[in-house]
Amino acid sequence: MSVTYAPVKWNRNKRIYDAFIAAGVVGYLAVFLAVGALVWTGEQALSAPILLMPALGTCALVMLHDVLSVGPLARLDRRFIPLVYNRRHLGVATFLVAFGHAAVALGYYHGFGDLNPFDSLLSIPGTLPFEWFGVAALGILFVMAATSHDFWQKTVGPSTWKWLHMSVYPAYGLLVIHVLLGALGSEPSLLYPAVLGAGFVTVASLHLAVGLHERRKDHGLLAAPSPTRVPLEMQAEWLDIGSVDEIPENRAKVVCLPGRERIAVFKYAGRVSAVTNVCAHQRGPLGEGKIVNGCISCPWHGWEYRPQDGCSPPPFEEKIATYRVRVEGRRILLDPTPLPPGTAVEPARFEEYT
Amino acid sequence: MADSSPTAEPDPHFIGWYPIPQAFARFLLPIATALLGGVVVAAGVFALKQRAPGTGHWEDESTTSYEGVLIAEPYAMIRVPAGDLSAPPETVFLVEEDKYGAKSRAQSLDGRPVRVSGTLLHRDGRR
Repeated sequence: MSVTYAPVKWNRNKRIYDAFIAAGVVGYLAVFLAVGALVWTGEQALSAPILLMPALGTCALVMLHDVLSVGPLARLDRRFIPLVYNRRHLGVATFLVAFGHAAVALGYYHGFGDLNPFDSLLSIPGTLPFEWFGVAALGILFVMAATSHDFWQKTVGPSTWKWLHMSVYPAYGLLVIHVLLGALGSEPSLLYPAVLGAGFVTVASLHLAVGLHERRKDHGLLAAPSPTRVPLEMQAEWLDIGSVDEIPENRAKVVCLPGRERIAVFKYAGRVSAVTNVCAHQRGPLGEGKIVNGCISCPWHGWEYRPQDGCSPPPFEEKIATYRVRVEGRRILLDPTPLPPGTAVEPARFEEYT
Repeated sequence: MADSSPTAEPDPHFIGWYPIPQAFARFLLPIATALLGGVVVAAGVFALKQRAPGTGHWEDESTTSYEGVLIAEPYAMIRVPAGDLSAPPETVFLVEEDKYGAKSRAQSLDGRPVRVSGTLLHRDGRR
């Protein structure tokens, strides 16, 4: 997080991440072009654009599978979280490689003729030429790449931004159709449809596994004896959400209540505080974060909030909803009504075992 | 409030601007390296298994002439009578540089006997 905008706030982890992306793209293209040039020679030699088009196209598709797999992997095993941290760079790189593919295809197949290349693209005969699916997908990837910076996330709001960037799924669907109707229509080898199918099954399975994983967690929380309703006061309905001893130090228990946002109940230094589980940045799962130097640190991008009032430490200005908590004996009682973002709530205290 | 190091074991927590926890690095480095190797190998296999492009060459070194009837529609071509009158005439498509075709030049001579000179292009045994 930062108080000013810069094109990229570089740090060591981002440099390493981007070095891997660059090595992957350069290595992929170099090997594809070298093998293509070595295998097809003489009267069967392929021209540079004909080699470059599938090289860039398949590279972009491989990268898009990586983009789509990183999120679910991080939910299944938090050791994958560093891959989420700089995922936007992977997304932008994917767009650039896909754009290269489109530029070469447009120039080679639609250039050097009577028609402007774009007019030529729009004049392809047929009801829905496969090229148009690729153009639509590229358009979505462009919008996502162009709005990937935190400036746009702040400008349009986290929810709108998140929904906008969920359009990666329609883009993926359009690209699969583009490849099925286009390249795979003329390829006799079964390798390509098999690889595309395996990629689709992998991405779909990972998302399904995460859905089931989250559902099990939520149902587990709902099915457990707690939370139970404890009418302590007339003006509030307090829920017993468990014992302080269930929560590791500096970590949270996530409470799932039907029809409400999840709530993250943090335990730290003999205190308990509750905030919404949703980060104000990219809606990351705060309850999977950790108290670091007195602040809740989001596991995705390290955005920080004070547990006692849900405010980011100065000079930052982000705020999240807080909840009232109390500890009776060693039981944590929670008022599930969210307070306005940034509302200070006295942390509940409990006796720490020595 | 108690301070804690985000990289402390056994409860590591990744924050982008801190050094990556050792447990995470030990887990991710082999995976990332294997992924890099995997995509490079995949690139080679994808390039190798491409559909055979077929043969083709431009006969740049010589000029060939044909005499026959020029046809402009739907594409510019010349119908060259076979030496044996019982055989069907040979059809040779005509193109020009870039993708403009030869239709515009052929239209004024459509249906008339002509003599055409140019460079032959061969593709999969056809001219």
